[in-house]
Amino acid sequence: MSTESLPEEEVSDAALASAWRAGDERAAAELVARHAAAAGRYLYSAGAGVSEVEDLVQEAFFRAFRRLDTWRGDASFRGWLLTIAGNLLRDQYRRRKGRTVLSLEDRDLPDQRDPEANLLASETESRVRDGLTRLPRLQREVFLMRVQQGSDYEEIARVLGTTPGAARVHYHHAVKRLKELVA
Amino acid sequence: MSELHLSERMPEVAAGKFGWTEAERRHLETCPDCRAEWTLVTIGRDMGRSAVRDLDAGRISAGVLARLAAEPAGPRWGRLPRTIWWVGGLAAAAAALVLLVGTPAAPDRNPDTVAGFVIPVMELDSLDADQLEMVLETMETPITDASVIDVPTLHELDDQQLERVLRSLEG
Repeated sequence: MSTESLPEEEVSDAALASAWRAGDERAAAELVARHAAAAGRYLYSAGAGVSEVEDLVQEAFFRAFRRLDTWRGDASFRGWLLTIAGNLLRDQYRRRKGRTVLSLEDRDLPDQRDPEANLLASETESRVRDGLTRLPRLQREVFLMRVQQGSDYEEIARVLGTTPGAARVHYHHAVKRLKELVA
Repeated sequence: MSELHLSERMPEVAAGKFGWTEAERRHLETCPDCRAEWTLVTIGRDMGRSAVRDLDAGRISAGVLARLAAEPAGPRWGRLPRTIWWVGGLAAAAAALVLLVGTPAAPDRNPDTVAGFVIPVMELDSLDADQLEMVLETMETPITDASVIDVPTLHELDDQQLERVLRSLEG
C-alpha cells in the first residue's frame, strides 16, 4: 500500500504500519518521526538517562517493527510502542541488578532567564522523576500515559491489558504517592 | 464539584483540551492539596522535553532500518507460524495448571476444597475495598525493590468495587 497518494497528515498509523509491512521504508521513517519524541520523553521520565534515550528509542522501534504483526490496532500505535519501551527499561533494570541511577546531568536543563526559580523547578522535577522510578510499574505507566499523552482510561486499559476502572485506581495511587514530593 | 472531579479533569486541562471553570479556578487557588496535584500533573506533562530536544528521528529510523536489514533471513522465533505459538502456549498453560493445582490428593473432607484439589486462587469478589487495597499493595512491588509484578486480578473487579477502592483512597 503506497503512502504517496495521501497528504502526510491524513495517513493513519495503521496505514503506515501496513505500508511498512508491504516494504515501504518511508512509512517506517514516518512512524519514527511521529512517535520518537514521545517515546523518548516517556523513557526519560521513567528513569532512563539522557545519554541513553536515543539508543533506547531506537531499540524500542526496532522491537516494534520486528513484531508489527502483533499490533492489532485495537490500541494506539503510540501506546503499544510505549509498552515496548517500558519492557526495555525493565530489561535494563534487570541487567543492572536492580540499580537505577539518576545522575546530576540527567536533569532537564533549566531556563536561564530566571535561574533561581528554574533551579527550584528543576529540583522539584528531579524529585518527581525519582518518585516515578520508585512507583510500581503499572502505576508509573498509567500516570505517564495520562499526563504526557492525555490518554483516557479506556485507551490506557487497552494498551496495558487491564480495565478502565483499574487504570483509574492505578492513576490515583500514583498521584497520591507523588503528590507528597511537590507539596 | 469534588476534588476527585477536579483530579480527573487535570490531565485534559493540562493538555489544553479543556479550560477550568470559574468555580474550579477558585477552588485551585484555595486548596493546597489540589494545587500540589496540579503542579505534579504539569511537571509530568512537561517532563523530558529538553531530554529529547536533540533527538534525531532521521538517525533513529536509519539505524532501525539498517538493523532490520541486517537480520538473517529465514525462520526466526518471531516469524514462526502463529499456530505453532498457539500450540506451544496451550501446552505451557496445561503444564502450569498441573503445577498450580497439583495431582489429585486423597479424599479430602475439607469443605474449602473442590473435588480434592486446593485452589490457591483468591476470590476477589468476596473482598471489601480495604482488602482489595491490601491485595493491590502486596501485588505491586516498587521497581527499586524487586522485579516488577503486574497486577493480574484487578480486571476481575467490577466498577462498583473499584469505586469503593477509589473512595478508600480519598479518605
